[in-house]
Amino acid sequence: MKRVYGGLVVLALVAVTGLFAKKSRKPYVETAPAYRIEGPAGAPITISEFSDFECPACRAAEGPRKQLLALYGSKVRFIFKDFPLEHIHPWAKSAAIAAECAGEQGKFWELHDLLYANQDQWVEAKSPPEAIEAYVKSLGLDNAAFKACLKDPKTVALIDADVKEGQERWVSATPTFFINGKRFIGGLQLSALGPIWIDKILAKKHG
Amino acid sequence: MDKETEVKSSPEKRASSSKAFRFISVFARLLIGIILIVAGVSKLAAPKEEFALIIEAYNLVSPSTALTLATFLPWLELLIGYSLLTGYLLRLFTVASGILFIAFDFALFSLKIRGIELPSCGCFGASFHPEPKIMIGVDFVLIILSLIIFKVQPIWALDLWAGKRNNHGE
Repeated sequence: MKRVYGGLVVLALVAVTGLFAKKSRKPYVETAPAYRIEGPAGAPITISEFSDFECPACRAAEGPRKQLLALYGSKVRFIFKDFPLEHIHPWAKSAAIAAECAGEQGKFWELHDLLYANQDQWVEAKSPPEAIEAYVKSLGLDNAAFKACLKDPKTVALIDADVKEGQERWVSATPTFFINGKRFIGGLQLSALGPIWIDKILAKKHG
Repeated sequence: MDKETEVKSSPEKRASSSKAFRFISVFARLLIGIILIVAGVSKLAAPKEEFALIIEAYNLVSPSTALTLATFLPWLELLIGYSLLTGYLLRLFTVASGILFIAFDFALFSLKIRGIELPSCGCFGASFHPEPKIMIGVDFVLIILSLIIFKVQPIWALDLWAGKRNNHGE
């Protein structure tokens, strides 16, 4: 009989610990500079995207991403993370650095949108950095501060930290989205399966 | 030292070395138990598809098997971990832990042989990110410790409280 009690004790410990672990799945704690975050801090849904400005699939995912954010409004907090795939996209990191520096002056999303909307042009340009610079100028940023930011090692460190985080989270393709910790690779998965997952989380919270 | 004294001290020496081994065995149970519980909790704290993706990256099982493993393995780790900590069905769960670490080492070693580079071993979900080559060594140590637990007569175990006789007939 004592052996049965012992077994029950062990099973109870396993069950309590396992359920506690599952319950501890809070809205995923994600960090990024404030200019790369959209939506309220207390939103029940957190979507983070590991993206590469030179990646065509990331550009294609922009439509589904914006639709999803419009659909759920203030229930969603969106966080952009840099994951430049330098071995296939030689200018992706330069673009990411430029976007960080635009963010320093409050224009991250503006440059983000320009870089994706005109991806074919600047990627194919004779000098992609010059093409990016033209977009930066069009945003009316403080040129001296922008250039100083480009050279600041802290800017590169921000991107490197995102890349390291992505690697630790086994990101191997862009765009990779995480909705409260669950992974969706590419715009198609995001638009097809994302709402199902979000509705499930919201239903649990309200149920 | 004359022969008589030597003969007298031998059983004492054996007794003290056996006592030391018993404490090493308890330490090993604590260490393996905690490692397995932390590993299980870390994996359960994320959607199972995340762990399935890691298993798939090892390229040893099909995606559906990876999802099944991802569902059950964290619970198995918790069960073995708590059984070792409490000393419940100790020999059975020590064998289970040994087999688990041998399987982990096989998977990690096969990565080396096949030239697959992974960012981390994925053993602790999103909590820690040890490199596969480091975990090969760690798992080997844990296999040795499992062997010690298996061989040494247990102390501070639920099995003793439940009156289960150990393999030493005590």
